[in-house]
Amino acid sequence: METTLSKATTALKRLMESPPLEDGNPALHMFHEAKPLFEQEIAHVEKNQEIEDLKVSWLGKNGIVTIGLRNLGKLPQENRKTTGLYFNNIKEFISLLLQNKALEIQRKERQEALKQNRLDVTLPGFIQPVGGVNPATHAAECWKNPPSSQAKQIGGLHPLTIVTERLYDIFTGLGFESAAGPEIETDYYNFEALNIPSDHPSREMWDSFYLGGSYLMRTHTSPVQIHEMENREPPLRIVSAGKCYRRDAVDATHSYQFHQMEGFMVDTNVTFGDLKGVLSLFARQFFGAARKVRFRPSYFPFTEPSAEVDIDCFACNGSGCRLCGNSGWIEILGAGMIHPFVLRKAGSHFDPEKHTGFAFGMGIERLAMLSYGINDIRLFFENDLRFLEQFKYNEVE
Amino acid sequence: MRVPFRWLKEYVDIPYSPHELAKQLTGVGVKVELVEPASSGISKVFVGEIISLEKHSNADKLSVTQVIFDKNSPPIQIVTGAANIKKGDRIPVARAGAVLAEGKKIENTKLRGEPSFGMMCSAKELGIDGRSLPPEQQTGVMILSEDIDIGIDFAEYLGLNDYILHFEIFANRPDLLGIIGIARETAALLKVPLKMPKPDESSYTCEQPGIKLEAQTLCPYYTGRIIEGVQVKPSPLWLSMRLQHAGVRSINNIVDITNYVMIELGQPLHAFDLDRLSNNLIVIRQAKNGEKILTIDNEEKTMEPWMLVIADSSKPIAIAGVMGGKNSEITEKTTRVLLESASFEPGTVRRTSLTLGLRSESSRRFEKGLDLLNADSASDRATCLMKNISAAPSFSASSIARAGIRPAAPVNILFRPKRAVQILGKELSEQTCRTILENLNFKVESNTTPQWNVTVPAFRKDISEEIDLIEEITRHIGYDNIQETLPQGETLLGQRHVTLLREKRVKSFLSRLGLQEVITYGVENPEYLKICRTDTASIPITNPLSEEQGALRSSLLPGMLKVCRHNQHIKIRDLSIFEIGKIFHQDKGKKVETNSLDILLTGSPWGMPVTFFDLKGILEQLIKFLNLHNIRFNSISQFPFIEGHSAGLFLNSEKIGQGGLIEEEILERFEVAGPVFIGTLNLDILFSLYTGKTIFRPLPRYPEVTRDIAILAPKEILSDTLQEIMTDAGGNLLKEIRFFDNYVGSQTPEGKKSLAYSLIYQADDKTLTDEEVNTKHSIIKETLKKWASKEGLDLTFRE
Repeated sequence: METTLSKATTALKRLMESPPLEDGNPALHMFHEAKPLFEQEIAHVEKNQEIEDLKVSWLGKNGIVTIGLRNLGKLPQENRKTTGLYFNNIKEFISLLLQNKALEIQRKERQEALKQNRLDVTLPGFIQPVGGVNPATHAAECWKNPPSSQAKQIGGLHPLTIVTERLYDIFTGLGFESAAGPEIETDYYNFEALNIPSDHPSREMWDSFYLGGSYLMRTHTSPVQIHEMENREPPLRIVSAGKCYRRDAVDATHSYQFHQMEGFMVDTNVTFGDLKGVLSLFARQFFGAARKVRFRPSYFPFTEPSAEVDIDCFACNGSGCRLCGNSGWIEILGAGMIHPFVLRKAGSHFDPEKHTGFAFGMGIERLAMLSYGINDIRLFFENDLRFLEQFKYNEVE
Repeated sequence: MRVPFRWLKEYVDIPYSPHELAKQLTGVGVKVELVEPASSGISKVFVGEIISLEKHSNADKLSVTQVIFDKNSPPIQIVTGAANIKKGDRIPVARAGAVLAEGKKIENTKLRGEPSFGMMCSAKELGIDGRSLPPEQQTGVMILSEDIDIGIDFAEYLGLNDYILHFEIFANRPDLLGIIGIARETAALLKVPLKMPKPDESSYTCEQPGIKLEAQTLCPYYTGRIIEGVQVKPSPLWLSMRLQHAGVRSINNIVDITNYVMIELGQPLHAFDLDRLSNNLIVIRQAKNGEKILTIDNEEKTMEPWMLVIADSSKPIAIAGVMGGKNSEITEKTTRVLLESASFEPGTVRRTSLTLGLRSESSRRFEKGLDLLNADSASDRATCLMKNISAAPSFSASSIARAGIRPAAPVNILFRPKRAVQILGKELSEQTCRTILENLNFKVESNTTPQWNVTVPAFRKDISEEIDLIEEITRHIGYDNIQETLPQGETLLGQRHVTLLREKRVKSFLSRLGLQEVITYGVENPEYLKICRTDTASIPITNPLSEEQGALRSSLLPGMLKVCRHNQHIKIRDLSIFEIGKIFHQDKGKKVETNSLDILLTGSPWGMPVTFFDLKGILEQLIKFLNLHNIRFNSISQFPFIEGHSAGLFLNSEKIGQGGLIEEEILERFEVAGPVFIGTLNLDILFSLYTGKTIFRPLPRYPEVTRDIAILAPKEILSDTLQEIMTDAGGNLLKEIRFFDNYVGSQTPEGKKSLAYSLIYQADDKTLTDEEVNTKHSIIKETLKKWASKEGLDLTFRE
């Protein structure tokens, strides 16, 4: 955020930090007497011409600073260097203030022009034709001078939205409804109710941004499970996507903000076999019918038994490559049977003896990175148009 | 955790390759992330003995040696530059065809005329961390101890051709932080017995230490024992190699043994130099305020009173469970050791290590919660190893001195095989359940089917209820062996949440209008919020990693301007973008989230420089899309918008959004080049008004008639005002008013503007005659005139 004014402040700071000058040195006099004088003069400037006058009288041929620099030769040898530096710093400071004043006057003039030229904001707005054809110009002109990039004039969705929509579409087809949840959570919904008491060793997996009291930014979308279950009766099939925050340092694979989709199903007699069936269907819908799906035991405090779900690597078909770290498999989501603790927390309308269910969660950036071959998570939030434009034309899959 | 395959095989017979075992263990939830060769494939290195050593006749720095690999075979000649060898030394020799670290190959050669049939190797050439070797061996050839037989394959002996399994240990399984834990799971997987290391019976001759446990809640159990007559020196090669492969640096034979037992049994141990303590008394207490300790890695740490320290009668000698103190560490001079094996409260260890920024192999284990029954056996195991490895002739040990509670009674769980079937959706025989549980060291009493009484082994702190046992059974059946099914229950309507659905539709509608969606960060630098004057009610983050994350965003504006800046830097100056996201503020202590939409236009995204009316057009279209009517745009005077070039969107008197030209001073602070137009809508309000449904209107059956009207009016008259008057006067027959021109110039008098509209007349039940239309049109003109004269305004019509 460096402006001319802040440059001037830096120049002044440099001036103050210059080596000290001995008493009676003209530069010292200059600094003590002339600086406030100059500041006083520039404060009253209102027109461009006045800036020019001020510039001449301070930095011109007979300006105070120029004379000071010219007279350096008359100083004792040992003082010349520091004094010269001093005068040069003063010169830079003054010219920056003048520049800033000039910009200020220009801005004022523009503001004045805008004020003179108030719009009737009740006049109807208009919509420019998509595709970049300027209605005022003949088509031939457009072809001669094509707009810099056609893509810029066609709108598009963010790749994370495109992937989220695909996920919603797939799960809607499997009978899931979607739900929204808050991004500000309490310790209870984000941790306690999910069987992660304070001091639980696994809290390390979710380093959080705290907001004071028991409030924090949600570290995963799992709290939506609790909110929905508290307020509703089984059977439930729900998915919910949104922003999550973790106190992670940023690099190519980590971001303090990311998106997750959470999903869960509760009914009488939902089994681990159902978990496998539904998630396997999902994985093959998303990554292609030819994919193999593997379920591995894992650990999450809020599900038991827990699983991690892999697909065989689509880049090497499972033979091992860089993408899959030579394992032949790519992890796509975490899942498990909802822990009875969580069902009990959700309220007495859930009876863990009768109701069972499964839950799953996946990173949307990860899915987007996998399906588009994106190698740096930071690209999603930098919003470089050259990045975003790549996803406009191929939403059809 | 890194586990050398060969080390694991000491406790359980494994008929598989390391890769196959890794796959199978991963399948039962003991996750192997990587199987890695211990070295880059070292071969043909054998242990030889130098039987003669002579100076090379043609080279000062070379020696000609004769080396035997077998007492009964003739020696071979090796020419070497090594300076640290003598007759009788045992050394590793790379013979012809050998491959060393970094792929170096050895062949028979001639050095200054003398043939040489191999090369004596340094530690580095064998890929061994030589830092614990005597100095002359760190630069020269390795000299091996005499208990290493000549002729043996040295790489094989040291396990250089072994594989290292890298395990990811889940937070609930601290019992797997020792190789024995992995071995237990392996044994259960392979259905073979576990071979536990059995310490020999020692005779306990020396006196026990005194233990004063002052903080029982932070240290449930503490043991100490004295070991006298130890000789501190570098560890034998096999031991330092094992540690190196497990990822721990070799220090000396005493420290190495404590680390070895920690890796083996999962129980961290600590050895103090007893002679550096004030006396034989160990005190376990909370730290004094501001108490300082210099740790063994030479960092001075200041303790807080809630932390736990191990102390002697006068000073702290260790941060309990985290790291030992320099003032009591084992040195070459140590002869008497105090060996600690204890159990510390996990939360305190975790918080202490976080607060002091000290993480160690020890704290990593204690903070997950360990089995305190393990403490005694770890102490015994280490004592036994010291006796074998570090003993001077005067070696003796005390028995274990204990303080704290004896372990609680084992956990019993009622288990119903039927419940497992219900959860898994798979028929399971009772025998399968029983076998799996028993293989995993659970005790099963199943006299009373259908409900069994299962006793949990002490090392499984993670098992406390029935579902935990079901998980054990599931992972050992193998997830692959559970068939995929589809839920049997009621078919549910897979529908979209109404807000999410509307958001989705608004997003695609805006992209139809030529806008690109962006997603920025939900947290923001408070400085930016301040520039945009939206910081007053913003919600600060109490523990940001940097200022960039100092607060929750209270407006989408800073994020949008940053996107603008980024793209202008790469010379993309034509932008038409939008973002939908949450913004946050606090209201009387309540934290409020609002769904917000921001649109940013700058440059010439459609070929001509954007204007206020491009922004207004988009907002109008969006409002129509949401089936909202009667929204008015009124001029506003509100930061950060420039008055006269911005408008608020009002429904009745409620403001639902605003848009217009942004003040230059903000743009300058964001280093953005203007002009920039921003539109903001509160989606929560907008969606609450949404009527949604489109209802078909029958197509008109009679033709429409158009009459234009051009009005010359004072500049300050708003088009909306004129339109309202015309609409009222036009009644049913006036179907629509289409604005088509706003002109100020040479044709208009000073202070006037010309507004032109097409009025569309049409009746539902007949074709209008010219006369009917003319009459209506005149009425409209008359009404405008009357209104103007009443208001004292000069209004005329241009033809």
